[in-house]
Amino acid sequence: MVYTRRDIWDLENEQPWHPVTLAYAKAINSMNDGYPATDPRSWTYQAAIHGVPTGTPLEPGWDQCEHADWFFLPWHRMYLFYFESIVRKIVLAQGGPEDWALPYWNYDGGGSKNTIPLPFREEWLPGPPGVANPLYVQDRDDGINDGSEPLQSSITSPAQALATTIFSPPPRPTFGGGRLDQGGPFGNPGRLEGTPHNDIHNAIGGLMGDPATAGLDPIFWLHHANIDRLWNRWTDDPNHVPPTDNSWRNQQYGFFDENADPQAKRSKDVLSTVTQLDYRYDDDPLPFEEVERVPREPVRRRPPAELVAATEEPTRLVGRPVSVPVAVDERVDVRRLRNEMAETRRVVLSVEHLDAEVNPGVVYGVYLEGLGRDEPVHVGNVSLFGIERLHRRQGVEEAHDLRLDFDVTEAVGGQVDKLRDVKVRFAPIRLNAESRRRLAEEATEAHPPIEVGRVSFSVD
Amino acid sequence: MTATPAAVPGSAFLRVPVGLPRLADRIVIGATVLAWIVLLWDDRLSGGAADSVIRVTFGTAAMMLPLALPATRHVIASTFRSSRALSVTAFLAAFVGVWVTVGLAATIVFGLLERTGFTPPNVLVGALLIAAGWQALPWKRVSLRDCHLTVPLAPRGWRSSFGCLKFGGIVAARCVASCCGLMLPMFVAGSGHLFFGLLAMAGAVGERRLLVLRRESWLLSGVALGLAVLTTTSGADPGSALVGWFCAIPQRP
Repeated sequence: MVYTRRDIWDLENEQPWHPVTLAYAKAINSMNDGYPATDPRSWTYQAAIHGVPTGTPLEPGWDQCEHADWFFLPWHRMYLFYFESIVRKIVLAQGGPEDWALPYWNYDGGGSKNTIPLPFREEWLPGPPGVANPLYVQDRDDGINDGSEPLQSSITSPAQALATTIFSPPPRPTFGGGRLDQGGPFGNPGRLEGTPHNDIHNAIGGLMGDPATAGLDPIFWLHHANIDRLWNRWTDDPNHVPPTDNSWRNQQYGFFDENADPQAKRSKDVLSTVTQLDYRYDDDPLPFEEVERVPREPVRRRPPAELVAATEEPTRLVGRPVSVPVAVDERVDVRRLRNEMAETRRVVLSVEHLDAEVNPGVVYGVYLEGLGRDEPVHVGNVSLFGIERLHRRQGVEEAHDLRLDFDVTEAVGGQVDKLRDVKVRFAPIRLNAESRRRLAEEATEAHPPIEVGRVSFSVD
Repeated sequence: MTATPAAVPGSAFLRVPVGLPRLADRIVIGATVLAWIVLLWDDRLSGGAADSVIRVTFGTAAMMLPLALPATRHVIASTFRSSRALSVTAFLAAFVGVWVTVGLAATIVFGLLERTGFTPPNVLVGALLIAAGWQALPWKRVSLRDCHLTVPLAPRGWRSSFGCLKFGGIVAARCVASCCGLMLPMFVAGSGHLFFGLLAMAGAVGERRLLVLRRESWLLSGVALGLAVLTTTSGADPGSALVGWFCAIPQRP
């Protein structure tokens, strides 16, 4: 049987507290109460598979989430798959819907969908009084639980991510994230991981703001189901090819199934949700057909990526807008690059060596000024969900040298010489409650700072 | 459920490195090959203090330059074309300079130790055991991780050159910390010892290549441990024995 994951807002519009939603809530209560914390099917154990606070003694399978690299998407797909199988077994045991599947939250779906779904705002479950609603988490950021501050489209929209044609570099930017198997600098999230994934984590705040606790907020699973759905939407295009490298395809991760038995899957085992994992999304094309991928033309003499402009000093983001000028290499052959731009090359803005002691929980918009337009051009966001993990010294696998890449070819009209007048502007799109309080107090810094080592433009 | 992987045709595109790293590859590989040629074919490197300095310098360059490849790529990708030659030179000079200093210091120390009566193979067994132990320690993994950290570099001018000089020193110092275990048997067996030198280089490069796997440190620990056992049971330096055996091949009927 192929299960269908549906948009929770559509479910709730059909019927408040739709049986699928109610079954999810009741199953969470069972996971909390029905299993000891050491059982892999318990709520806290499942959340700990994603992450635990630094220093927590590790149980099997804990603290293995993948971020800022090309395993982000397959790891989370596997994680949700096994979580869903555990919840489904509990739902069936409780007499819930036989076709139960994890719903997703499409915050970019229009209307009120950019607010948290209604069942996640209520403190009590419907029915007998006095039963706490596990979907409600009190410490979410201001304006989330009451729906008074809808999420802006600049942080919910996957448009820029879906427009990215490459899964992994080269060239950058990518849809799925930077490679991990070649040594050298890494810590390069794909566009989908940045926006909307990281942005939504930061915007919801509270438990969701930290990988060590994110899985404890029930909205986490619906958020990631949406990210997983967006991977399917990206692969609708036959030109969008997942990595063919064996180091990606054979990367294996272990989880626990509905019987608490250990299971393992490789990235190549989760490429098709329908044929390999028995689930689909309600907006997947019907009837299902295996997409025949178009092989990419081998490019053996790709022109070198060329640095054309960069800042000469680090930049510090403290909650207020800041604009930084970039120095342009006077020896750049603008005419040659312009000709190459007309063919296949792109102008890439890189925000390099991002660092912060803690995630300030703020989403910064990245804009280009000086392009002769009335308003700065928004080209992407910076949000540092999981930055704390950069500083953990438990192993070499943790990401470091974090960099974000944005394709700005369209913004600069493909004209490299325009970069001489450009400034890069960082401005907070969404401040968290603490930052707002500190700004109101006119504190020197609105929140713990983010260091940007360098901002650069290259032609790739 | 039937697991049927989606048909994904191969793509050579993803395996082709971008252009600037290719330049880094050429510079580093060229310099490494040159150093090996000088080291292997210059018959002047047989004795005397000056020859020892030359031997250590080229030996260090031959073995350690491959470790600088990722960082050299970073330098090249981070600097404007107008400043690139000076920046790369500054980086490599600092990197090799730190290693040569360490190599010379180790040569002197182990030379003095040898004069005071420490002789292989017992000391070699100890060095191999220390190498095996170091590879298995969590500090080793941390220092290996630190080897891959880069710093933001200014794109041009004196800031770029100075930054690259500093970066070269930092990377080399981190590499010394990470590779000291692998280098120890080479210095104990005699500075420039071919077998242990090659083994250390292969191990150090290999573990960077296999950074994401957890087993590489243990693998190298196992190799060092195996050599220690071999040395103990045979009562001889296995490196010299293997090199001797290899060199004798052409003379066999």
